[in-house]
Amino acid sequence: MANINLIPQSEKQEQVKQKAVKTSTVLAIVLFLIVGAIGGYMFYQSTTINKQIASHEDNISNLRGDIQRLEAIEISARNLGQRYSTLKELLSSRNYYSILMEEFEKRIPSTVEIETFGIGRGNTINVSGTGADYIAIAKFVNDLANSNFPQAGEGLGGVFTDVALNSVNLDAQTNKARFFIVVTLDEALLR
Amino acid sequence: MEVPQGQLSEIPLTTPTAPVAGEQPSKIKDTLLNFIVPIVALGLTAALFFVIIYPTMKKLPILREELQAKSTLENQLRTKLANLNKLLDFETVVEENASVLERVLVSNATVPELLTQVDIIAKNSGLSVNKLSYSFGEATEADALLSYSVVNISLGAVGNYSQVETFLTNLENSARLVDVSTYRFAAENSEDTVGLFNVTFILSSPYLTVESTAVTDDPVNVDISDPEFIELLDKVKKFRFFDISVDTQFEDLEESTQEELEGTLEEGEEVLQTEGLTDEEIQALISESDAIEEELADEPVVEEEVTTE
Repeated sequence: MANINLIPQSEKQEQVKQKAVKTSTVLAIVLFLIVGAIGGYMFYQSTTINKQIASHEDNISNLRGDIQRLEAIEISARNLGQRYSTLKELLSSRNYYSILMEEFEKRIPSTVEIETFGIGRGNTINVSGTGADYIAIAKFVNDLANSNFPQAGEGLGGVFTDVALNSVNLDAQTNKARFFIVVTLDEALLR
Repeated sequence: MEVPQGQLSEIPLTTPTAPVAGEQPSKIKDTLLNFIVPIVALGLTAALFFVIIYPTMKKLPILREELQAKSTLENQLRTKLANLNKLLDFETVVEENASVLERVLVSNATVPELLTQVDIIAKNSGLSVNKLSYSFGEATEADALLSYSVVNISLGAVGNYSQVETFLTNLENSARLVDVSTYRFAAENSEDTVGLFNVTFILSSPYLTVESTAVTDDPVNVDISDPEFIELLDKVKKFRFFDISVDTQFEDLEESTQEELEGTLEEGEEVLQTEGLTDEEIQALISESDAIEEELADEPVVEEEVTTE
């Protein structure tokens, strides 16, 4: 059975209009309330933060006053701090060459005599000397390069990272083998 | 209009009516009146957005940043104040620590004391010092940021391998910081110096002049209870301190009389004669002393005694 709408057209238009007014009113009020709430929240936030900032500023001002009263101790502390940090840096980058000398001496065979020794550029030492024979020099070079050298100090086995035998020749007068070696160091182990 | 038979007529139920003049504004007015509430609400919403929400939205992040900064600063100042109060409680310890560190990393070059220290260490190690010189130098490029200065020392000595090793050990354990920049040694060639080396050390001793000022908002980072700090201090305290100082005192003595000075000069002449000097040399010295005597006669004499401890 078909529904017959007997409401007059003008009434229908009136109803649509009222509905539109009602809907838009509700929507507008809801929107206003939402925006109002957001605005209120933001205003509250802003005010709260401003209050907090003011409170921090008060505290900061008081703390600054207290700190300024301790100016003398602050200067002493700063001096101490600066000296400490510099000293720490200096000591941590310092090479303890006594360790090098000790480790080097341990690896010199009795058949080898050192004639010159010098700290060179780029973590190297230049060493020259004489050996009773070529075998003595070979032993010396091997001992220097041996990271598992038995008599090496704790953690110092690898202090000589590379040994380059630059020259070896036999001295006819003394019948000894002269050598010149360049030894590369691991400087970190000397610190 | 005639409608053909057999067809339904389409007669509009309502006839379009032409707008009557003056009816249109009234309709707009009615519409506005009907929508007054939503319009006002939307207007207020817009006003709220542009007056409060939008400016606050822009301002809030800045305020939050400012709050964060203030909060951080406050915490920093609180920490600093706590540190300073702690340091104040241990003021004597701070002073003692500062004094110890200052003896290791000195404030001034004090070259004579440094050279004396190096000389003493070398001699104590058995080395025979034959050259000792110094120059002022800048810190290396890598260390330039640390802003300390260095005194470079060139030390020439003679000794055996063991003595060189001992010297290096002693130097490393001496309180005033002296670093070995480089060194080399070469065997002595003569037969009666077997096992001896001519050694050359290039040493550098840093010194740091510290003149800090109080900066209220900057933190004080030194913590005397920090294990690293204590470790370093313990290490430093084990160093050997050389108390080399030249305490020069100027003492005002009683004014000497002319007779006393003449007596002193005569005694001097006698001493010179016994020293085996020639008459000409003695005469030259006497004429010099006469000139001095004349100068002394013109003004009152005050002797200054210099004592060196």
